Amino acid sequence: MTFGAWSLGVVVAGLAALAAVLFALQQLRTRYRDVTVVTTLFWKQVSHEAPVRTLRERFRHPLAYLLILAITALVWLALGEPRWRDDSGSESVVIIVDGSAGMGRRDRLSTALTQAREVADTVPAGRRSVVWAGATVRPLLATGEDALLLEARASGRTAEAAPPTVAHAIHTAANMAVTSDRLRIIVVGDAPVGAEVVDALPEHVTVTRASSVEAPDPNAGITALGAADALSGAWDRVDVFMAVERPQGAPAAAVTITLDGRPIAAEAVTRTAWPDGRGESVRVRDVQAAGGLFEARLSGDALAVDDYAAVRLPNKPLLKVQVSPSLAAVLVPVLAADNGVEIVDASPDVAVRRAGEQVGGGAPALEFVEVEQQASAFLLTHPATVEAGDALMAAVERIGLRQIDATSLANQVGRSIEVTVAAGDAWRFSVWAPLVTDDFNFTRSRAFPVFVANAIRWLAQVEAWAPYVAAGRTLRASEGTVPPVVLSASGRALDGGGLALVPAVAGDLARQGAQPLAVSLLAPSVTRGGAADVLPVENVRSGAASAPLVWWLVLAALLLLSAEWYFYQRGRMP
Amino acid sequence: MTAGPIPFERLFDPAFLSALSHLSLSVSRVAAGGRFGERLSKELGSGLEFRDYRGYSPGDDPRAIDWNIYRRLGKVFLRLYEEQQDLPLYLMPDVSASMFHEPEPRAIGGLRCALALATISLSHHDTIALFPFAKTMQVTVRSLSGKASTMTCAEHLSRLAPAAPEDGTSLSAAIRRLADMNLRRGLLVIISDFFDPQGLDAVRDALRAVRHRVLFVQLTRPSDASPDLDGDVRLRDCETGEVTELTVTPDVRERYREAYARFSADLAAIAKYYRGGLLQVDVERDLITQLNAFFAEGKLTA
Repeated sequence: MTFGAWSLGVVVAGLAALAAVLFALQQLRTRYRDVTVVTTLFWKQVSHEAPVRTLRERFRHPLAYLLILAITALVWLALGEPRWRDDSGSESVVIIVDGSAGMGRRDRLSTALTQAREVADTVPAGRRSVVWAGATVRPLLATGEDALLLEARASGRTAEAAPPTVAHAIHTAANMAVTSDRLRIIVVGDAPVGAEVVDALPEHVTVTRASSVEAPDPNAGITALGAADALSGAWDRVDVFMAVERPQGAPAAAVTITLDGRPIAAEAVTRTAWPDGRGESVRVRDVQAAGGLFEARLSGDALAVDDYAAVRLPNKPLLKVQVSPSLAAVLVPVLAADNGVEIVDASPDVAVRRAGEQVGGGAPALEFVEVEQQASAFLLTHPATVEAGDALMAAVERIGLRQIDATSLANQVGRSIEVTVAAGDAWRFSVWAPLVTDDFNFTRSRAFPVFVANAIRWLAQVEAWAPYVAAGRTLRASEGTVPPVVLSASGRALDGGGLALVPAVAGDLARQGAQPLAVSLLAPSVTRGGAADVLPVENVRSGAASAPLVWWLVLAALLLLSAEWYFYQRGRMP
Repeated sequence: MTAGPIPFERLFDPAFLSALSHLSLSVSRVAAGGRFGERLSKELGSGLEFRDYRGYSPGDDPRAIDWNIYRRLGKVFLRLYEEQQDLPLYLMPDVSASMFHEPEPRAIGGLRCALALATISLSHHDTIALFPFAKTMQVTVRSLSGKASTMTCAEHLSRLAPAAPEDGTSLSAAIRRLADMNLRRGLLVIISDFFDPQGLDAVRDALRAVRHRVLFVQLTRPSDASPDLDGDVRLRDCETGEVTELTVTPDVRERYREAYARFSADLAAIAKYYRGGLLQVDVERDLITQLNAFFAEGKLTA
């Protein structure tokens, strides 16, 4: 027999303490019977010789003591939640409840929680824990806690709009287990577990499933949604791509596409069915990149959470550039060819000038400096509020300084080509002027327009944007941009510490100083369901087998209590 | 506890009264030549029974001179005759609350015993008096004589009511009151359980002032000597209300028996000291049988 609430030592110590306390009380207690007598003359003499009120009396009524000790011992044992000893020895059990989006089908989650409770009842509390594998993996019932808490904590829970995290939960549990003890992981729910997960586990860890994975209902869902620079080349537009999966042979689902709530023109949408009949690709061309919310909806089916997806489009206005007349001959043709740039005569976003000229005022500037005036070939000037290292890294990546043939330039100039960084009052990129003269072939190289375009965009501090945002997947920036630190609405860095942000659950992700990110589920495994699962199904013993022991103990205690009452009422017990 | 007097029918049922007449005859036959209340006077007087001669002394009654002896011997002798006097019987039954406490009150045995002794005394032409007591003594009947007075005595006895519990018992005070009455010498019969809170020492002291012979009738029952108590008990005195808590164990019971034996021994010692008698009556046994046995031993014929 084992005890769920306490260890055997605690139970034995408690019994010993109870026996000692009852023994002391047995010696101390005095239960008087009132008797009226003709005289107390002689009794008074006796009581003077042997007074009754002493702290300790001779131990009396051993049978009464044994009876009350038996009653209290039975109650004490019942409190210890005794169970018949099983053959699991020192095996620990972790029950993982799948709370991912796939469990939103019908009553799958409530069924799983009920099953988890039943499994938990079969294992002593000191050796089992229950883990919730939803958007994140977190404990639901810690080791040693009463199973009743599981019912309270599971009450009202719903499946979370996130891809399965059961595999992650299995790895976490396996890594936290003590090597010397056996660990049995029981998965409750439908999330499939692949062979690669099981194969990576240590030998002392076994994984089983409490019940078979239920065959999913026919379901269609959006499994991919993202934006990219428009193939048309328009700087201020993007193309949006979407994948819609459906059961083989099912008719194509109706897709409703809107931008900031307004329907997209049908002619901009191209739908291409997949050859295998399991879905289609949807392409929306030249969508205005003005920071709008692109949404796609399918008609409802068995699983609603994958019938909606959204992505926040980038904000890409044309960059206003003012060019100094002294450089117009060289740079205006290059800038005119850049469809993201608009050449203006005043109020520019970026100025292009020679050092000392007043073109563009205080706007960020691409300056060309004589060699004698600047020791290094490239000088990056950044506002004092920006870290020099961050500014240099961003500039090197976004301007593409790595791609410049510095050796060739150095040979032609006869000086080493260096990049330096300095703090100033505004963004400025200072380049040796000879680089744009005919003495060098840099202006005639294919890299020159890219260099200028990148420099202009870096100086304009074009905002990085995410081409797609999916739950459970790392947030990535668009090509050529460096994602800034994402701050939550309260100002906390969500991707701080050098780790990339991984949105846990679908929905809006509020950001400080920016529009919310639209996080979509985009989980093919959830939409398809019934993926290959390698876990064996374990027929977990019903908890009903362990419950009667407690009740038998309580019943026995009540019977003994009744017997004591019976004997006491008849004066056969003190 | 009995609230009022014990009904006459319960106290003196016909069977008891019938047995009482037989007891009177039996006692007369057994104590031949005397009755328990009768005794020879120390005074030699003018009785009918010749006892002895003695020489004449100046001042003697000349009518007692035996002139025949003078004529034959020439000396003056007086004829002495016995003078028989009756012996008053002073009955002091205990009517304290303890006498009426139990389901079968020991007062029944006490009052029956009083009537038995009174009957015997009256049948021998002695006078009786009735002085019940509890906290103090009362005079119920000062003098009663003649065989026909038996029923009168019984009626007086049946009208005796128990004293209030708070009155308690004070035998010593009752004895002192009796002594103060300066009654003619007689036989004082104290009928009681003798559970006086003041103890037997007070009784002994009070008896010093009494010039009567004393007969102690101790009313007992088996549970007095060996109470049927066990375990933790809270004992309440029916008269004083005093509470004693104790755990009755075999050892405690043995100590109790020793204390009760000392009490009985002390009572016997007092009776012996005053050359009196001690009659222990078990109220749960037949009274007549016990009295017959008692008289058969001649303890009351001295």
